[in-house]
Amino acid sequence: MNALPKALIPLICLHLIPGLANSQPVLSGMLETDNLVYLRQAIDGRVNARNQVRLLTELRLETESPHGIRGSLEFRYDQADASRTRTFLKEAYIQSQLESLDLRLGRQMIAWGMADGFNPTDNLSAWDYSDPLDYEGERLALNAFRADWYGEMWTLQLVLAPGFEGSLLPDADSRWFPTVPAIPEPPGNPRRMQYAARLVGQVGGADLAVSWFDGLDDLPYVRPVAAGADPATLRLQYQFQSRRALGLELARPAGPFMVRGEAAYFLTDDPDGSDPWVDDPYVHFVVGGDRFFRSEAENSLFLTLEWSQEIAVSGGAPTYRVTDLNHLLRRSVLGRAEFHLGSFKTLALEAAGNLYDGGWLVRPSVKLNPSDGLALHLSADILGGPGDSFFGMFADNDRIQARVSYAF
Amino acid sequence: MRSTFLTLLGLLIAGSGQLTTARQDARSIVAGMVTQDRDGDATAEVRMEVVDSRGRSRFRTLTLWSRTAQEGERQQLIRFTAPADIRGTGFLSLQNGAVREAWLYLPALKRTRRIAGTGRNDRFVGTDFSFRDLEPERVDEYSYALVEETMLDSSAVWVVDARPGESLDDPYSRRRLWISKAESVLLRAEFHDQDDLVVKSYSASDVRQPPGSTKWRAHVLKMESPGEGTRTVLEITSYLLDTGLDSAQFTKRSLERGG
Repeated sequence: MNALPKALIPLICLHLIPGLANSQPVLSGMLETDNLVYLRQAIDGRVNARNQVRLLTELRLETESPHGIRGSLEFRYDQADASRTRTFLKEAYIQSQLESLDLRLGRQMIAWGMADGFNPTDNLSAWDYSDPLDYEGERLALNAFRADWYGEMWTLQLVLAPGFEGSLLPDADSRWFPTVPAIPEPPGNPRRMQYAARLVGQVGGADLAVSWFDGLDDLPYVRPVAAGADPATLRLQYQFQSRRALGLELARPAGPFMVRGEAAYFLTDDPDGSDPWVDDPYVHFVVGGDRFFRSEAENSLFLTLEWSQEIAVSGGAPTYRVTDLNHLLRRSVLGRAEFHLGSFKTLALEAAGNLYDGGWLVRPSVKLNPSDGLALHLSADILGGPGDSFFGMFADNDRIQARVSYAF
Repeated sequence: MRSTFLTLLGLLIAGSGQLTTARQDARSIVAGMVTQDRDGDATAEVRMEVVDSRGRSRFRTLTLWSRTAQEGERQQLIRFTAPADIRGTGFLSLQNGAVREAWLYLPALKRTRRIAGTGRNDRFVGTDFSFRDLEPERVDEYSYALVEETMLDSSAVWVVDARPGESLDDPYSRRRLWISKAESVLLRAEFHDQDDLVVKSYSASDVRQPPGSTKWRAHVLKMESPGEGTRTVLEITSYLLDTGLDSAQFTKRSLERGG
């Protein structure tokens, strides 16, 4: 709820940056209703529906000068699940676009990665995982200073993020709150500067990027610590672990296909991979391809298929918890088919299968655009797999979702 | 008899000469249109209406920047400005030799996405126009024949048939072009498939000179696909030519600025 004072910062900047006070404000946004019902009632009184209204407003001030300012606020009200109701500052930053340098300061979104389904090199952002299957528009901004330097062939991106904020986790009465292990209250965000750099360019017809991240995992680990003087008495405690990641990204056309890939080598706090409560150092790579088909008529089909795998550097079986959302896809196949019937209707089928634990998710959906700016989405989430897999653990959470959104 | 033969031969030679002249004329007519159509760069505000096979319209507004690099390669940057749900979406297309590289910027994802290179015959951002339709005519790749000189509405026009060279990957067996004599502007075109059926038809109107330019440009372009029952109308509400756009305008940096 400290969003509003932060929102005043751009207003103050408005009077400090030349030209901005005379700029023309542009207001835009989106209003959305989101209704969701689970097909099976939860037996323990957890929230069984979503009746949500979301308003996203964005204000842009741009001038002929190289400076600009942008802010957006999101209001979310969920009648069925009070824990999802919130007002927060989605973005608020000032930017200067100089000869070969772009500078941006403030609360902003930074999205790295060239793959489609999952981006192991995209480590700066936290996410709203209060519903882990909702990923559209759930990236959280971070307070950061960003500089992009544009060379002849390469672009160098540097990010300093002074205040770490972890991802939002499901509330205790959410149907997505994991039952094992019993988890204590989440910790506060530790004070820790995060750094990241990325070099992006083109070589031999391929888009390439090399990146480095030094910060914290956006999700806390649960580990036992001594409860008092007696070391034999243990309690579980949340902890955000440091992590560093060396990333590599690639996107290259191959005939009618696009090949995309990403790999990140994660150096964790457990360099020799012997602490069972900390991620072993590991490599996470995603590789796949997509293709767009257009018929002679106005219809088109887009297909994408990706493979995601984690390999522990120390060898042996990975030790990550089943419920760790950053490790859901440790040996998985991801696919999506989108069939566009003209520009008014889209049928889609998404699927994820985890070959490591046998869990799977299927999401069929229909999107209608009856008029410009107005969209109706109807989708279903069907989960399954062994009870000790993530998707299998939540197999009772099959659901139907209907959203109506209007952009203005 | 010999005299008759010589007379006939003379007529044939003369006829052949007239045919050759007509071909050259057709080529020079098209070349004149290409010269008139050539610009270093262009900036256009476009209102686009795409009508589907059930008669439903979809409206878009966009800004289009285009430039012909020194090597003759086309660079295009498109930024959609309306409707609100696609505002800020950008499309960058850079011709690199025979390959056209393309990127899409999606503001909701804050991410630029490399997409498979578009072919010349692919649809231009989901419209009835193909990228080829919007490129300058490549005179060396076609043979031309003057069909007739006539009136189209109130404009005197040359009617020219354009047939692709055998090695050319052109989906049409021929195109019939109506080129205005006064302004050397393409006013109408019909695109014939291999069975010589008209599969697309183009018409242009509101021909005038953009501010500060001596070139003539149609400001309303319409492409219909009768077989599919679809059509696209591009209305250019603002047109600026040769303002000195440089290659820096056609980069991923520019692509992301609008989002």
